[in-house]
Amino acid sequence: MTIPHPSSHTLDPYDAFREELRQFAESECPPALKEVVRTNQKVTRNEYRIWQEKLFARGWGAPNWPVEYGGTGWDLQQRYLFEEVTAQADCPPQYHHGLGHIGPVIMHFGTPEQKARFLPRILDGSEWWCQGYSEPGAGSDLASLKTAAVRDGDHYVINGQKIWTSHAQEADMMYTLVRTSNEGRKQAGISLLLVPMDTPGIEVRPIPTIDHWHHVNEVFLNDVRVPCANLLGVEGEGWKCAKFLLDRERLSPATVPRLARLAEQVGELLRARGAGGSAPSASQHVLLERLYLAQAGVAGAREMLLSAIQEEMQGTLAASKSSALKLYCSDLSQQLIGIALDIAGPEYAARLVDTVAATGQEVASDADDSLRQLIHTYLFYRSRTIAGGTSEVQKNVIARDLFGA
Amino acid sequence: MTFHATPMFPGDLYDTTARVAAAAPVTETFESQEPSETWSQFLQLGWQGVLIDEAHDGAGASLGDVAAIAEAAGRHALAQPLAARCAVVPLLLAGLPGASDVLRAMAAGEASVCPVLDTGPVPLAAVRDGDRLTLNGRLHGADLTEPATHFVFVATQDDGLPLLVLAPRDAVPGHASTWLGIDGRQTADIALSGVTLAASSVLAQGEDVYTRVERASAVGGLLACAQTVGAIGAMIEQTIEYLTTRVQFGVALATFQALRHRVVEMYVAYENVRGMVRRQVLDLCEGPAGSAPRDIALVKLYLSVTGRQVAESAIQLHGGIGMSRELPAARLAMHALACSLQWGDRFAHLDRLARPALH
Repeated sequence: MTIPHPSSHTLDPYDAFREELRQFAESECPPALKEVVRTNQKVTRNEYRIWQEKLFARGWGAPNWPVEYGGTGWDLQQRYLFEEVTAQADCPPQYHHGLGHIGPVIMHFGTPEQKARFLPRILDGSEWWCQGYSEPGAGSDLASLKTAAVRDGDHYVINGQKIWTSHAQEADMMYTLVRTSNEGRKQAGISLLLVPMDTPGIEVRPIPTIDHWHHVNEVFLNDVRVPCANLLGVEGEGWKCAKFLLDRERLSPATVPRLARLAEQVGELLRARGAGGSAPSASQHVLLERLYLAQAGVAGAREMLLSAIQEEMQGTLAASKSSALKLYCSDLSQQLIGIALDIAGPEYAARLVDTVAATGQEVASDADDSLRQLIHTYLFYRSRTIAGGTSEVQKNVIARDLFGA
Repeated sequence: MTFHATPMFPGDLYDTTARVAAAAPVTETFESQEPSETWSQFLQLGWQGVLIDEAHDGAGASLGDVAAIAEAAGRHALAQPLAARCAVVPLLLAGLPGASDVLRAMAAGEASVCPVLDTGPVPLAAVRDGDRLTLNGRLHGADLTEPATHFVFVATQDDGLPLLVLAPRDAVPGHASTWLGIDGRQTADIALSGVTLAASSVLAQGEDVYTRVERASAVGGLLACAQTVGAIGAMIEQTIEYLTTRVQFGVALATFQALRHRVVEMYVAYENVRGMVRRQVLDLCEGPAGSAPRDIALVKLYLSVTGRQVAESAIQLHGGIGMSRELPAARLAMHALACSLQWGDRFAHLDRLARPALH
């Protein structure tokens, strides 16, 4: 039960590079960190930071940034290899809000002062960002946001509420879209502000989610005063910044390698479950078929990504293709973790949170905890087809391309 | 811009096959005595010789070239035995001393060999006696959509030794029964009762027979997948065309989100299987052949499930007209369905994959 790794030869020129990455991932990523990833525990700022510092020290802090800002200047294929090798080695992913999201926007729209102030701290992992986009009344329809910023001297005064803000509880900064005008189209009059999270008037409240992990928050902004120097780009043109980000980061080279690793893990889990048993049961056959279909799906997704990378490098990538990839991979991740749920079974679903351990008296065995984490992950992965553009929104995007209208 | 499928293996072979296949008439009669106009063109083009080595007057080309032919044919739901006779048979016979003549004749388009590798309910028994080989049993499901000059099949001796046998068409009696399949393929079950052949009809024996049959059938399955990719691409194009044209409730059907989203699901499946099949073909062209049948089984399992889902969507999205045999999209759906069952269906491949995993 191995994942077919079909296209190694298409990346031949990068063999030496792959080996360099492999050695680094093997020797530099601390075993304790790998253990967190391998056992599917939630990765928090602490793990992200340790890994980011290691990468920064090696000069690989920002695989997606140009060299002039301290990035590696790697092309998409190299970035893909980096993701593939690090995922295989159970290294944590990189924290994306700084490196992937706001970093490139600051590079494009920021003043020299803003670049000097913010970029180095994203790169070395000393400053942590979260994204204040969604609001109670503005989800997929983001431009309906109402949180308002009013100028008062050399400050903006922000009032409103953000929701589903992941990592707000451990972030130093929040890049947030606010309404600075109610004139014209609703996309006009939106501005992008960079808000220090320790500014008075900010309150972060955790949202208890079905996965029992602390991931997302409500962020209340009550007369929050932010210097005008923290406006990114032009007032009223924040939508442009948001669009820039979406257009630029259409391909996420990390998704497929992480899926491939998950497929391997689920395969191991299924093997372990059947080990020592007598004749294979009907349930094993059913689970096996689902696993095979998902494994084949991962192989197909990998080809889709590699060809999308080629097209993106040539500037010919259609929106329908990157959306199809997002749609497919998020669905596949749910299929895989659904198999894991069925393998772990009712035993762990009924014993999700160890309330004794929570009081510090007793700790469950590692193997048990690893299976329990899969249940957390299953529940968490319901968000895969919701966050970053719901599957239904992706389908609308793809349909527009397919039908030409 | 509306959707248009991009070939996995573009080039002359794809273009030529697509052109010939597009002009092929739809027939539903069993006329296996004369090759169809379309099949004659393929024979003249040398499609049977694409995989045959140059020493036997073939092109010595790669599996990618046959896959190009299969994909193009699949776009038009062509029921002809392209995979069987242009890939499975050449692979089955490659390097066998007794097959030299027939390979040359195939490359020249003068012979066409029908493989019968599914043993069916009644295994074929063989007895060798001096220079005679006597056969009893049944050739099960011989694809005679186009006429064959020879059959190649497996017969088993009393002692369990398998034999790979090449028999001229004339040496075996006529049809016992003939069938029209769901996608216009025509097969025959032929009863053999004491049929005798020259002992030189045995081309291979023992373990080698199983190895050859397994590998050749696996490649047949992969080409069925290539046909399916072609069929799916065309089904999506035609479904979009239909939904854009057909007006109900005063608007084009293409304006309904429920229908659009189902087409999107067909498209996402298409991109996925297209990448998967293309990669598997390339790997087979370039890599070591050792694990090929297992890797192909994974792809074929996936395509068997996905091909059928897409076929069902294409019919559903066409509404009533989707039930009509005259509708090209419906024929494509039947073709994809047939491909999903041929060369091992979903469960045959699941069994193959699960055997080592569960024991």
